[in-house]
Amino acid sequence: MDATPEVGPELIRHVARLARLRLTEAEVAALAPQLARILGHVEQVRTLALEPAEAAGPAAEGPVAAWDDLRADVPGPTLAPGDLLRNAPAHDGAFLVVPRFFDEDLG
Amino acid sequence: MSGALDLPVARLAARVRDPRDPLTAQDVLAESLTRIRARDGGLSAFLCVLSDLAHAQARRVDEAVARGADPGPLAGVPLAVKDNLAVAGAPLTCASRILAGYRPPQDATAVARAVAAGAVVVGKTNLDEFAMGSSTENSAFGPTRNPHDPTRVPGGSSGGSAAAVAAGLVPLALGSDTGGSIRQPAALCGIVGLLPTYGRVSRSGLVAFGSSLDQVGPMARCAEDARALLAAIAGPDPLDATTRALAPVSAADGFSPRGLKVARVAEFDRAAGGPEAPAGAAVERVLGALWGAGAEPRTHSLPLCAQAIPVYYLVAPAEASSNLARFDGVRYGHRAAAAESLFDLYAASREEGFGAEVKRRILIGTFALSAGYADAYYQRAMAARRALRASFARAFETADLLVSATTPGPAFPLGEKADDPLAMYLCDVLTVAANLAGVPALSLPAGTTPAGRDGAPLPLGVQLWAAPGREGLLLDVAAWLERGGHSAFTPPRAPEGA
Repeated sequence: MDATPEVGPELIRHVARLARLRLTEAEVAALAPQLARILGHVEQVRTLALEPAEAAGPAAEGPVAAWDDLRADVPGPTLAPGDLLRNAPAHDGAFLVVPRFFDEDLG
Repeated sequence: MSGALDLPVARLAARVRDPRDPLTAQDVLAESLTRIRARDGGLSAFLCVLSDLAHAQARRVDEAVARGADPGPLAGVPLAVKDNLAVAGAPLTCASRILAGYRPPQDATAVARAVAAGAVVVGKTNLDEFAMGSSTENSAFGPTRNPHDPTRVPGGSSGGSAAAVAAGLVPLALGSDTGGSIRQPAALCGIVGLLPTYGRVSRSGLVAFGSSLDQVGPMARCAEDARALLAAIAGPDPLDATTRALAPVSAADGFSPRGLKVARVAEFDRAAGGPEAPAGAAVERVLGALWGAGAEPRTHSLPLCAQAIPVYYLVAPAEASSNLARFDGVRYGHRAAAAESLFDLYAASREEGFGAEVKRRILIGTFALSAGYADAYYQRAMAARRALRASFARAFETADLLVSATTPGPAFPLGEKADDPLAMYLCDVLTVAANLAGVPALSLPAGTTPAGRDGAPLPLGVQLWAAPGREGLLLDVAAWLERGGHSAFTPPRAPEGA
């Protein structure tokens, strides 16, 4: 098990970058003690005594364990591109417009 | 002043459906809009009122009646819709700046089904931004106030819907519940709120927060009104693969709690402060009524429920951090000006668009899923969640119904927890386990705090829990408690001049 992390500005900046979220230095300073307290509380899950049989299961399983009544994979009506583009902040009539990114490091 | 709006929903709809009755859907709508104009200024329950749409829907209901057609079981009933559910062509904000200007191209399934049953959508209600909060203070458009005491919160995140129903502006509202967001404001505003079984109601058109937790559900003044709305919106939907056909929610004939196995839960009793505390005393009154009428008493222990908050506040933010990745300034909503790179466009649009609580949860969730920490946090929380679900399944082998408080206390003053996110999270201590387990739970009004030094008496909620698919039982028990005078909607005192 990984060690409990120190929740300081460095970790906040790292996570914010992963989340594609720009933060001001004032926000980083305010968030560090808040997240330290919240993560300190949720830490409890790491030490829970769980019955292995009950805790086991596929990682992403939610309240519906499985369902096998998926609908048939057949084409149906879809929204018109114009209806979707109407909400886009920038488009050229056919495509969404974004800044040039071919040379960008998005990691 | 009482009017058609104050009738039980079935009675109101029956009058609108009856061509010999002069009451029309348009009359009922006019009454609702008049009340909103008179009373909502002091509450801010609505983010927008959709007068044109509502008039068109009400006219269609009246035209159907005039030509001898049946407009449906919710004919002419004004409905408020939480503003994280899509109404085609109307603004959908999630109380966030990041969705500025967004108008969805189609209705949420729950909205479309309610309208198909005759309901009239009068407007969109306030919420904590993206449904993240327990007080409706995390709205980019300002807080909603509690109709029983405007200096206090209405609960959250469906606080606008709860306040609109409690203040008599509409008889019915749609909310969404990811960790208590229907039940908690229902309790704090003194109305009925129901979290359906996961899979009962389609989430198509609900802006996703925690996809394995989110459910859409009804908010109303009484159990039968809530049942009418649930019946209209429930059922499988090709647009949401998690929906399933479950047992009907119709009322059992001649229901009595005799022989029903009704359990208290030690961990929930402790969270409510014990029988001396107002919330605990409300639980005792409801248990006393049910056991006194022949229900079999049980006491259960669900130890993992004491850990439900840490589990929930890893699982829900993890899912939120993923779901909210779609708000990036490219396809809809707010886009930062003058971003030079794609990364900057994403990061700046999100920085400018999201509020503080949403940012906190995105960071918690991203951390819990990040390399080096996902096993210790997210996967561990999911293991605890599976164990919690198993413990509920065991509990419902020997109990039909669990009874707890809905919240540890009544509505708190605006601003009291605004600077303490963890204190706000702990408001959900009695509600999140139902979402983690996927079981239905209903909050009903169960008396008030004693009037005294804190001012006006404040509503208290008691929560009934049942096994998946048993919403019908929850509603039967709630309706039985209402008939016996153990649960009742009490209208707030009308504000001056209303």
